[in-house]
Amino acid sequence: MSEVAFLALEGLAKSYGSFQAVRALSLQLREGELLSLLGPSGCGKTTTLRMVGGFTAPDQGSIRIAGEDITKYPAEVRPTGMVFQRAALWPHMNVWHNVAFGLKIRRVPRPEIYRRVRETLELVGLPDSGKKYPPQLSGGQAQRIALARALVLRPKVLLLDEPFSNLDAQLRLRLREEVRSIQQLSGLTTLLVTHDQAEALAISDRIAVMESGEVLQECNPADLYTRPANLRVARFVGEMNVLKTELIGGALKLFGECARHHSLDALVDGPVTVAIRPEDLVLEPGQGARIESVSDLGHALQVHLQTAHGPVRAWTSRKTLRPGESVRPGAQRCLLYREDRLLLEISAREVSDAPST
Amino acid sequence: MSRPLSKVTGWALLIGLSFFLIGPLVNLLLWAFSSRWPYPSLLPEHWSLRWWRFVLQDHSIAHAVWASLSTAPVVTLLSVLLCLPAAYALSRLPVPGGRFWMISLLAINAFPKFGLYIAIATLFFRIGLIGTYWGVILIQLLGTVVFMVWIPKAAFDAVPRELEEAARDCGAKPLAVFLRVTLPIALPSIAIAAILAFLAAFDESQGTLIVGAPNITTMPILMYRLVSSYPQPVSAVFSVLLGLPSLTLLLLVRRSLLSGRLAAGFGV
Repeated sequence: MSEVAFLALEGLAKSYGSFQAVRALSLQLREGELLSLLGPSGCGKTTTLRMVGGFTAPDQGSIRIAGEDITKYPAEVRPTGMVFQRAALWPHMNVWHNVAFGLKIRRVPRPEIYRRVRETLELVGLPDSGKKYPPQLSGGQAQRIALARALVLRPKVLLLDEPFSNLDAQLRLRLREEVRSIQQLSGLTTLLVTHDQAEALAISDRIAVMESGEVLQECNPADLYTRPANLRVARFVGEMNVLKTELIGGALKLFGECARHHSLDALVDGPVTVAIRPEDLVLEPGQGARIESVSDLGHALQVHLQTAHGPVRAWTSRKTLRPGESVRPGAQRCLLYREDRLLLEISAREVSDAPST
Repeated sequence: MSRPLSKVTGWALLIGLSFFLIGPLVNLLLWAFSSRWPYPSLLPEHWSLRWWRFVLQDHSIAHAVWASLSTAPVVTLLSVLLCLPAAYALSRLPVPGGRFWMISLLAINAFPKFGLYIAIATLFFRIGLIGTYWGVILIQLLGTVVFMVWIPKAAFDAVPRELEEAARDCGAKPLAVFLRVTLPIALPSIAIAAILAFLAAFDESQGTLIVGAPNITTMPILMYRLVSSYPQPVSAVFSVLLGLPSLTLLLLVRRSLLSGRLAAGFGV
């Protein structure tokens, strides 16, 4: 990155015995940027976040915030604020004292504590909750107070450890939008850990997909969705049809046709794995795929088809159906795809870090 | 049908239990205020405060009350000061042989203590602790350690790590984290442990008898003498006196223990 990184992780590594949780991880965040660490459980995303927060000491590497190396600082002096997965509010203090705790520790004058706590409770939308105790709060309220407790100290970097994962679906959607707007309003540099790809796509400036302690791909949400770097990323983000087929004489054999693509020119014949999203497939009258079943997703129809390469899902909008046409199980269709939406990997190299098409 | 039935059983159990728990206490109280209570009568024939006067005017009894009240609270305080750090360390720090220490504390209580006391008395005799105040303090302390380590350790274990990490994240140094987060959350259990430690010290008689004789006679030791050499109302009066400190303690902590807020917080 050419700009000056506000939060810079360089070559971070952490092992627990023989298990390498994080391997030589480097990331840069611009000021005010929200970057999501996305990956399945055990991929090292939480370990990375805890290293930034100061709760886990890295074996190697460095962490800099605004140019200052904080790698050796204990958690209590780092300019970071963390929101934990389970709100982790102190049950023996009411909401007001939970939020004021850090300010009191810092010996901020009382009038200023009063003002800042009140402002922050207003910011998270719970101005009248000061006298409540944590057990009296709902899950969403508790998470808002946990956010207020971090924000009131005006951290340079906000750390969010799956803060929405314990909430029910509707509340999760609403709260993540709120957190995103607070984050954008206050221009807070934020690192979010999540295993929910929809959440990462919805509120991130950039996403780093992690697996086995490494970053597989780091880019903005749109690119991650339309141009996943490899099959491992593709499988994790959004819906994806993964099909095994082969290259014959420089042409791709797919859905009963052999097609030459420019992108195939440099590749040798042999088995390949292709991935294509359900919405990038178009159903046309013809042969090659048999409709097995149709389910209504609301925004589209999901058509399950049986092909020579195995089962395939395609999403089709009702609007694109011709008058009188219906998709019925048992009917034959021809599947069309756009060459530039196809992700292709030579099968033998799939597990390696080979560059994709 | 099953509900009213179980209700009946519940009441029957409650009444049966109260008969065994409260019956003897009522009997004790009646004895303490009676001057004559021959066998077949349901209640004493004569009521009086004469045995109270007798007991409260007796010098050896005043001495025993003082001996008990000057040892048990000190033992409790020392126990808290010594055992809480140990409990915290066993809960949070990588103590070498931590399990071994926990089990060995239990082992002290797993056997009849009399043999242990004899061995300790021999040692105390050599170093001149027999018949001294600090000798009694030490021997009583021994019986409290198991409560004051095991119960607070479990309480510290139950405090979620995230609560401590959240406090560090807000800028609290380790000591502040302990004093303002860990300790207050564990406090109800620690209070119970302290009450148990106080009662263990207050009721301790075997070790105190062996180590404290002949200079120090605490209330339970005097009790043995009273039971064998005075009429029954005297020991009844004395039993009531013996029960007063524990009763006071329980009433004092009742409010904070039953408030529920602290207990409810554990599930966060």
